[in-house]
Formats: sequence, C-alpha cells, structure tokens
Amino acid sequence: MTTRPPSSPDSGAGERLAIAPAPGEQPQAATSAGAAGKSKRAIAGRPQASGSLWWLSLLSVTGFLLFWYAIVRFEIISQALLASPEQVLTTFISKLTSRAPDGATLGANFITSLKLCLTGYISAVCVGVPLGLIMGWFRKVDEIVKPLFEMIRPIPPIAWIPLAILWLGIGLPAKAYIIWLSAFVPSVINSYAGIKLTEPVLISVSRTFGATNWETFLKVGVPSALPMVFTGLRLSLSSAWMTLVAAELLAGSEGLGYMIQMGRTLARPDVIIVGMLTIGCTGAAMGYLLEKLERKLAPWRRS
Amino acid sequence: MRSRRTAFWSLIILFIGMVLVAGNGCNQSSTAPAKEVVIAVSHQPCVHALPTYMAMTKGWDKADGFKIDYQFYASGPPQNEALASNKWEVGAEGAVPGMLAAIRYGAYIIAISNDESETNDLWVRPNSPILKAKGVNPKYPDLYGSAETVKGKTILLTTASTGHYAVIATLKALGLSEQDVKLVHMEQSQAMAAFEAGQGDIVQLWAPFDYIGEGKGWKKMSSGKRAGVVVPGVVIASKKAFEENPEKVAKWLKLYMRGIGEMKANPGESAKLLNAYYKEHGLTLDDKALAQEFSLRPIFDTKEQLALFAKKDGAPSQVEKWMSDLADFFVQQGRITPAEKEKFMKGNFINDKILKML
Repeated sequence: MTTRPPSSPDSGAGERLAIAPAPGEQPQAATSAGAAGKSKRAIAGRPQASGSLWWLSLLSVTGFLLFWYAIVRFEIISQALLASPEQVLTTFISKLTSRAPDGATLGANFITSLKLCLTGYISAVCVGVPLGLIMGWFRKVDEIVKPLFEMIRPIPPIAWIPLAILWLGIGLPAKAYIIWLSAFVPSVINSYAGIKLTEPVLISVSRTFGATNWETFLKVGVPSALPMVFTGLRLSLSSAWMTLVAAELLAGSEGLGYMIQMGRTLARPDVIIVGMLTIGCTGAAMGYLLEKLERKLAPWRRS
Repeated sequence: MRSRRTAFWSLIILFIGMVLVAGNGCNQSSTAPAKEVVIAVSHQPCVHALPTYMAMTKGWDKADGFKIDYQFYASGPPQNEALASNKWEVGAEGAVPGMLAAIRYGAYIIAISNDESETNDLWVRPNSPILKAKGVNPKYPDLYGSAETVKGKTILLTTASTGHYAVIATLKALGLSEQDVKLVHMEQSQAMAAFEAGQGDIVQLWAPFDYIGEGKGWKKMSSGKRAGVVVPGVVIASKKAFEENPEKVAKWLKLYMRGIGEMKANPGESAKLLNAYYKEHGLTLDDKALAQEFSLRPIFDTKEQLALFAKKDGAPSQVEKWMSDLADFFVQQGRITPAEKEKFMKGNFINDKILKML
C-alpha cells in the first residue's frame, strides 16, 4: 500500500482538515521519554492547582448561584423568564418521583437520553477514530474519503432530521443517527490531526529497525495520536449531548430533550433548567471519566 | 489639478448630503401624521390572523390612526415567550397557549377567534382497518374506528396541545385510554413527514396541515368536534395592555371584529386574502382547503361573542365552560396543577370587559 509518511513536507499536521491541535497539545507531548521530560518541565513551572486552589472552583460556583438567586430575588429578571435556584431545586426533587408535567420521572428521562446518547456516541467513535487514524496515515484512503467527509462535515446534524425519518423511522435508530453525525466529525478530525503530528524521528527509528508500515502505524502512529484522539472523544461527547435536544425533537415521549421541550411548551423555566443541568452534569461526569481513562492510557499527556 | 479634485469631491459630498436630506424629508412627510398609535400584534400561520392582516391590507388601521406592529410566530410556545418579554400587546393563539399565557403571565382572554374543534383532527391512511367501523359508539356517529381496531396503534401527535385534547377525547369515545395506544410526540410538520414515510397508524393534525393531509388522500377518522369536545381559538391581551391601556386594546379589537364581520359577509373575497397571507408565510393551499377554512371553522361577531362570554344567573359562561374542560384535561395529564386551574378559572382571565367597550 502506498503510504504518505506523516512527516513529509506536504502533510503538515492539521493542514488538510481544518482543526489544528489546540494550544498546549503540542505533538512533542504525545510520545517518547523526551516528550515526557518536556511535560514534566512544563508542569514544574505551574502551580499545583488541584491541591491548593480547589476553593477557587467552589467560590466560582457559589458566586454564580448567589448571582442567580439575587437577579431573580430582586426581580432584575422576572420569575416568568428565569426560575430561581430554590425553585429549580424543588422541581428537581419533585421530578425524582413525579411524572408531571412532561409525563415521565427525571430518572426515566435520564435513562432514555443516556441510552440514546451512548448509542450515537459509541457508534460514532467506533467508526470515527479508526477512520481518522487511517485517513491520516494512508494517503489513498485520505484521497478517497476526504472529499466526501469535507462535504458532509459542515451540514448541521438537525438538517438530517427529515431524511433520518424517511430512512430510519421515528425510533431510537433515527435519533441515534442524528447524534452519531454530530459526534462522528470531531472524532475523525482529531484522530486525523493526531496521527499527522507523529514525530518524524520516531517513524525513522521504527523503519530503521525494520518495522513494516503497518507495524509503524500501530506501534508508533496510534500511541502518538492518543492525546489528540482523546481530545476528539471529549469534543464528540460534548457534541453528542448538545445534539440530544434536537434529536429528541424528532419524536418521543420521554427523554431529557423531550422534557426541555415540554418545559418550553408549558412555559416552565424550572423544568427547562432541571433538564439542562442534568444534561450538563452528566456530560461533565462522562468527560471526567474520559479524562481518567486518558491518563491511564496516555500517561505522558500533560493534564 | 488639486483644486479640481477638491471641487469634485465637494460636489459628491454635497450631492450625498442633498439625497440624505431629501430622503429624510420624504420620510417625515410620509410618516409624520399626527399621533399615530402603535400596537404590537402577534399571530401565527393560521386563519385567526386574517382579521389583522385584512385591516393592514385594506388600510383600516391607518384610517383609524393606528399602526400595527405585526409579529409572526410559528406556534404558541415562542409566541408566549415573546409575551413574557413584553414584545406584544394583543394577538390570537390556540386555547392551550392562551390558557398558559393567563396562568403564567397574567394575560387575558378577551375574545374567541374561531371554533377550531373540527380542524383539530385525527387522520389515517385510506387502507387503514380503522375506517371499517363507523359510529360504534352511537353518541359519536361520525367517529371512525372501534376499540379493537385502535387499540395498540401508534399515534403521532403534538403533545400538550389542543390536538392532544382531541386525541384523548377520541380514545375516550371509543372506550380506550392513553395506555391502550402508543403516543409519539412530534411537531406538526415532522408528524406529517413521518406519517407519509409510513410511520405510525394515526396522525393528529390541525389546520392548515390537515388540508395538506387530505390532499395526500388521508382520511379523517375523528376530530375534537366529532369526539364531543370544543376547541376554541382565543384572542389575548397582555396583562399590561389590558390593565393599563384598555382603550387601545378595544380600538384594536374593534378592527379585529370588523375583519371577522368581513369574513362572515364575504368568505370568497376573504379566502383570496387568506391565500395571500399563507403564501407570504410559505404555505400553499388549494381552493378547496381555503374554502374549508371558512366552512369548518365557525367565527363569531361581537353580538355572538358577548353571548358566549355572558354569565347567566351566576353560572359560568360558555367560554368558561370550554376553557374549564380544557383545563381539566391538562390537570388530568399532570401538565398543570389543580391550583393553577383554580387560579385560571377564578382569576377573571376570561374577560369580556373589552368586548363590552366596542
């Protein structure tokens, strides 16, 4: 198979697809003891935030809640437009057991949405990550897939809803497909960019020691791309949760997106906010788990 | 050379200045008239917008010293969100958003735009087994289907709406409940697309989507009217407009009622205007559908409206009974609380004060 060494002059990282690595995600940090050394030096110059500055996070959350409480309490924003924190808390507690006003408890809505989100997300990642890695390493695959991918990439997932109904009906597959589309793109782009950032020296060393192109891909390219792959996984996860409301607009009788929609129909900002916060907290928790997994699988990456 | 260039640019600046001054002058002369009253009016792509559209098209508003700030909303929820932000003062919407506007934002129901009981309806495909039985329950002779043919079916509907109300009334008339069928929430346009793609067994629609469904060959199995419930469309005034400026609201309602009078007197001409209104908002209906907008949706003149709002010997008015039935349905569904229903029915939100001022 004809390959295009990622280090070749015409294959600069991120140049063929629009998203370049984020600042702080330098390729050097991806692999090798040298990279790890750089990371350590970088960390050495940074305050140990997790140990001593936790109170800053607490302060920001408390400040936000107080600000929220004050603007509703002093009617800077009407209660008809924004529910107060205590009203949201009351609704949250009541939704744990009550089906009103949207027809399902918060737990039932959560399970429905989680199932939907994970179906779309996992299937997107299973396809997107290998595709991005292969596109980034094998030039022929890149040339075949890239034009199609570039055409599909800018289409907003919700624009697919009418076609999703025609192709997949109104059940879980259609909704999961909408989420799949939104999660698929970041997985591909970041995996692609990640593997293109592989250190040319490492590739040369691998080849010097007689590794085949496939072995170099698996043993050098893929591990080197892992930090960017995880960035893609996190971005995909965010996209999946962000698209949930749109996907559940398609059809449904429960789910967090449906609950938010019903909150809108019934002019209940408290229900809307409970749905939003549940999505936000679940997304954050899943993001945290991904970060833990990343630290385990790619310990050289700077946290 | 330099002085020639300066003269050239001076002329250009002078010309632009003259155009601006002249333009401003024209504007002033065309819009200057004395003390024009501006009223923010909200509507949807629905026949109940026609009286306002008619007033604007025929220039009744200007003749009355009025300027209508017309606002268009795709459906009730965004219309109510705009109401909460004081974006409009009067408007027309469905009974459900009207009720919620009263409960949440203190708005008043000041008139009935039309009776849309027959155009909140349920449709099936022409080969549906549901069509094999009609009038199984003798109390509802025009209703298709039976408990056996409807049980277990999937119904595409817009939940928490007047359409949902018609669906539950239909199920009740057939001796069924919500638990006997599968209800799938969809917005109207998506429900149509899904039903056309072969999804679901029954689709709930309202006008003008139901005319489009009829055009596709679908058959009406039921409606609010056929299942014994009344679904009114309501005319709303915001709390602020109603309480602080009732004269202005009355002045607009007079125009609106003039439009209703014209719709009753000249349905043919009015249908042409309705067609123009729908086209402006991207909807195309054929002549039959346009005619049905007038034949299937009774409208009421001022005298009839006053009769509908009148309380006889302290008993609730006809409009209060309709809205109370709807509110009961919402309480049963858990969409509003009994206390909210109480607030709605006892808070004088269904109010004929403005009608009496006409």
